Amino acid sequence: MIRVTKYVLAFALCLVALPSPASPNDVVVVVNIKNPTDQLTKSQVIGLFMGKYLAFPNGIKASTVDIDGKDNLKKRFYQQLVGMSLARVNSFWSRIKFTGRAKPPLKQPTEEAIVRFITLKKDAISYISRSKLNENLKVVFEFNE
Amino acid sequence: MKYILSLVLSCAAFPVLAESLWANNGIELSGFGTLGLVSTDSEFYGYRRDISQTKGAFEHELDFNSVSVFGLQLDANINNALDAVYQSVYRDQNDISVDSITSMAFLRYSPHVAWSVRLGRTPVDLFLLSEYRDIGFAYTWAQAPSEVYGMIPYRHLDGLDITYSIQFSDLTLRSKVYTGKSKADISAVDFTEEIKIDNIYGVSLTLEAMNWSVNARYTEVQVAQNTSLQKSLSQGISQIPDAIWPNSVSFANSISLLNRNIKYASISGRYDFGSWQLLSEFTHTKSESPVIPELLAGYASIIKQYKDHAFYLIAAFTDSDNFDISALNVNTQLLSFVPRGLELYHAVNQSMNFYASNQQTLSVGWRWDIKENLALKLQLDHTKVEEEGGTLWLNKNTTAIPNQLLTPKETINTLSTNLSFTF
Repeated sequence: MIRVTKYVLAFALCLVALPSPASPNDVVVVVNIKNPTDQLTKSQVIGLFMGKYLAFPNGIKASTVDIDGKDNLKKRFYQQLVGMSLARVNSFWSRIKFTGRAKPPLKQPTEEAIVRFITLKKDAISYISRSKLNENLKVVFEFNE
Repeated sequence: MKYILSLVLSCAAFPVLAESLWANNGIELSGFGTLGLVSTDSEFYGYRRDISQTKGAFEHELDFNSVSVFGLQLDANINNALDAVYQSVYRDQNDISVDSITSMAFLRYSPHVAWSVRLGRTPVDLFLLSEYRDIGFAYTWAQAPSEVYGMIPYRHLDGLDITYSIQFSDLTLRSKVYTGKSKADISAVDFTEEIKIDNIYGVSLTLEAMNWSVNARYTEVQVAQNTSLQKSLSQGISQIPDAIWPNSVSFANSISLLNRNIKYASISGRYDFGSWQLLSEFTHTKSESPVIPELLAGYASIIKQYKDHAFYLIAAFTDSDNFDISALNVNTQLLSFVPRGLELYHAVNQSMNFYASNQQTLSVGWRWDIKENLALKLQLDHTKVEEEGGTLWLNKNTTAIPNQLLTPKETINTLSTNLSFTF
């Protein structure tokens, strides 16, 4: 009985230790495949999407892109990135935008439009569901749940 | 009011217009606003947001204008390094003109992400919230503490600012230097005077991580003109013989504000821990003129976030020395024989104490984010005004009566609510 319990415990520990499989609904931060940036830290992504420092690590200005409105993807992205609701993100941005300090991310109506936009713009950065990835994009940041 | 209504009505067309313009010309239209109501329980102290306002809420009154704001902004991308911003704000200004409703109008040149130069009209950056005090959606409270912001009527800087930002590790350092000039109204119930300041030089430093920030600001300004009230007081005093008003000419000269420097300093910080936030600011104002006494002011606030609701407390204070007119040793008995002599004496007393503010406020409030761009706020302030310390309020008791306090001690409760939005 003790031996069986040991096996069960070991199996359970293995399950915990294994990384959870990527879900097609996961939010990933993407850039154009030709963008020299390969990876960003969470604080760099925060800097970009919260208007603190709008450039890639190589100093090139970044064009951040948001999905328009209150799309669920946008909610999940900001909740995971800064732990804030969209209202709090908007409140934060209104003090940057309406004081003329910086411009908020550009807006695209759908994930498909974001994919098209980034495919055309080398300095653009946005977030999409993993399932929307294609060969023209590369992931520079993903959330580790 | 008509202006607000017409702008609100025209808002309906903005999203379509803005999207079309943005798509075609790199131009974006957006806006913000606050529709508010405020009421107090004081018979003769009227609530106002800052000392530029001539109207406010007294006992048994509900005031809409003094706490309502509407703003429109136009952003235009010219090229990758150059853009232009225009913003117009209606906030019940004493006179409505293109100049008075223009809060921003600048060209920005940003050759590198770290550097930005803005030329034109930008928001004045004296204290932490100075730049966005009229944008209610941008902060949790229903009203920014008037102890700190009520004494500052200036909204814009006509000039130049240069910003340098750097990111290292998880920190961002933003530094800004600025220079230019500004103007604003200073008001009481029975008068409004325009004050012009120039030779403004300032620096602002912000060091921030995601869950904390510290900010320091220092600005020096020079008063560019005397008010007509100041001029007439000086003229009146200088004509009184020294036997009645000792050193009258010298005192008359000393109350001039022309070319006198005023220094503004602020230090502030924010710390977020879990669903709680602490926010505090201390400010110091000092001038070369006895008309503007040294003023210490500050606030500390704690905010608890729960889902779409934020609950908060604010403790705020102002502290300054009052001018003691009796120290001038004016012979008031003889002065009473001079035509309008006592009137002059009490007008001088009132003027010399105009900028002296002594009060403490405890506030409790609630913000509910109804939508991602719409918030309802409610705030109750309990204010203790010290004797001769009620400058931040509109005062109905303006009659100059010898030996009577113009701004007596008072305890005031103020209830304010508003809907803040962006679009």
